[in-house]
Amino acid sequence: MIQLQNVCKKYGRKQVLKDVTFTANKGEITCLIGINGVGKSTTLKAIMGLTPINKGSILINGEKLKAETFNKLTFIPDAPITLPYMTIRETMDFMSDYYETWNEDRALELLKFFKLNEDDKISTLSKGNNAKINLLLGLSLDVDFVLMDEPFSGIDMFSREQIANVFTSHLIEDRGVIITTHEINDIEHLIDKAVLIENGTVIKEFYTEEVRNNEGKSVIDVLREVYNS
Amino acid sequence: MIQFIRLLNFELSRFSKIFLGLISLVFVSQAGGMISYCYKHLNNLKTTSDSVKSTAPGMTPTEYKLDIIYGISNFFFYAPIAVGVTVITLYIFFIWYRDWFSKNTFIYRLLMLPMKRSYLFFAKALTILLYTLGLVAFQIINLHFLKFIFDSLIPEAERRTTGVIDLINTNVYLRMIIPSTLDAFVIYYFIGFCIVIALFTAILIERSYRLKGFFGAIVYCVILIASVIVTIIFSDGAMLFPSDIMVIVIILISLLATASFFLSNYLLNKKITV
Repeated sequence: MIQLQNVCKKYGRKQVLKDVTFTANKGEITCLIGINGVGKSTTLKAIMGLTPINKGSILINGEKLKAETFNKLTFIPDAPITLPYMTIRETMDFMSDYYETWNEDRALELLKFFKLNEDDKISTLSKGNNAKINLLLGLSLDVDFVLMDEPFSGIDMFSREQIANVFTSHLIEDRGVIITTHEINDIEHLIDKAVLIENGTVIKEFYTEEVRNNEGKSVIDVLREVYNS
Repeated sequence: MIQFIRLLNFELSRFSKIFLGLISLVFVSQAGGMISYCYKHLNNLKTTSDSVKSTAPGMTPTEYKLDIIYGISNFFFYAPIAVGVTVITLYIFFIWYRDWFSKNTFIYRLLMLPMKRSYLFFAKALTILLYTLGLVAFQIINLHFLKFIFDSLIPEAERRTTGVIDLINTNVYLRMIIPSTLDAFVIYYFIGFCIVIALFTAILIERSYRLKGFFGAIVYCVILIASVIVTIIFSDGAMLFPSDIMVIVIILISLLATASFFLSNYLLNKKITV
C-alpha cells in the first residue's frame, strides 16, 4: 500500500500540494485526475523521492522510501528517460544490470506487444515509441507498484489504444498502479479508484465501481459535477 | 559493491569517446610538434655547424646541440594539455547537468536505481579522478615516445641527453601536472579530488534549490576557499614551518571534503529535484 498523509509541497512561494492524503492499494488502478498544473506529477515525483516535500509523510508498504524500495515500485514519467545513443537492447541490458526485479521474458513480450525492434536506437524513436519504451522498462520490473505520469500525453490514437490495452492484459497482473491523466476517456473503464485533485488538494476520492453501481454515474459524470459546482 | 562498480563502469564508458579524442589529440599534436621541431632545427643545425666545423671538424659544440626541453616548449605541446585540462574541468559540471538538460532526462533513471544515491556521487567523482589520472599517465607515456622520436631523428652527436624525469623537472607546466615525488603527486591529486567533491556539492546545492541554490552554491564555494586562505594566513602568522602549514591545510581540506560529501548525500536523498 502507498499512503500519502497530509503531504505539502511548495515551489518557491507557490503551494503545489496542500495536505494531499490518499492511499493506493496493490491490485488496484488508482487514477489521479485533474487539469494540467494541479500537482499530479509532483505527487508521483514526491512518492519516488524525486522532489522533496515540505510536510507530511509518504509510506510504501509501511516504510519510508529507501534504496531497496526501487525494487518494489517504479515510475514511468511522461518524458524520455533513456540515453539516446543506446539501442533498445542496450537499454534493457542496463536495466537488467541494476534491477534484481528485471523480468527479461516480460520485457521481450512487451517488445513484441508494442512491435518494437530491439536493435533500434532510442534517438530514432518517435514520441509514441519513446513512451512505449518507458512503459516497457517500467512494466518489465517485478514490482508491487507502477506509477505512470500521463502515459497518453501527446501520443497518436493507435499508440494510445495499444498502451490502454496494457492495462487489461496480464502485464499489469496484480500490481498496484497509480496513473495520472487529464484525458480520462482513454482509461475511464479501467480504473478502480479515482482521486480528484484541484489546486494541489484532493477534493474527492472514490471507487469507480461503487459510484457506477450505487449512483449510476461514470467517472466523467462525477468530474462534471465536481468541477461545475 | 558490484552495483557501484557497474555504475562506475557505466560513467566511465560515457566519457570514453571524449577521452580517446583527448589522448589522440595529445598524441598527434605533441608527436607532430616534436617531428616538426626536430626537422626544423636539424636543418638549422646543419647550416650552423658547417661554419663551426671549419674549426673543429666532426664535433658539434654543446651550445649548438639540440635539447628535447626546447622541443616541448611550443604550442603543439601545450595546446592539447590545455584542451585536456579545460575539457576535464568542464566535464565536472557536464557530468551532472547533462543528466538534467540533455534531450532525455536520464537523471530520473539514475536517481531511481535501487542503490544508495551516494554511489552515484562517488561514481561520478571517481570518473573525473580516473580520467584525469589517465590523461596524466598518457602524458608520461607520450613523453617517452617524444624522447624516442627526438633520439631517432637527431643523431647522438647533435643532441644533449636529457631524461624524461629531467624533462618534467625543468618544465614548469609539466611539474604542475606531474609533481616530481610520489608524496607530492598523491597530495596534489588528493587535493584535486577534494575540490571535485566540493564542486559536486555546489552543483547539487544548485540542483536542489535552483535559483536560490545558484547563489547558495557560490556562497558555499566562497566559504570553502576563505576557510583555506584564513587557515594559511593564521598558520603563517603562527610562525609554523611550511611543511606544518601544508599538513594543516591538507587536514582542513580533508575535513571540508568529508563535510561536502555528507552534505551532498543529504541533498541527493532529501532535497534533490528533477
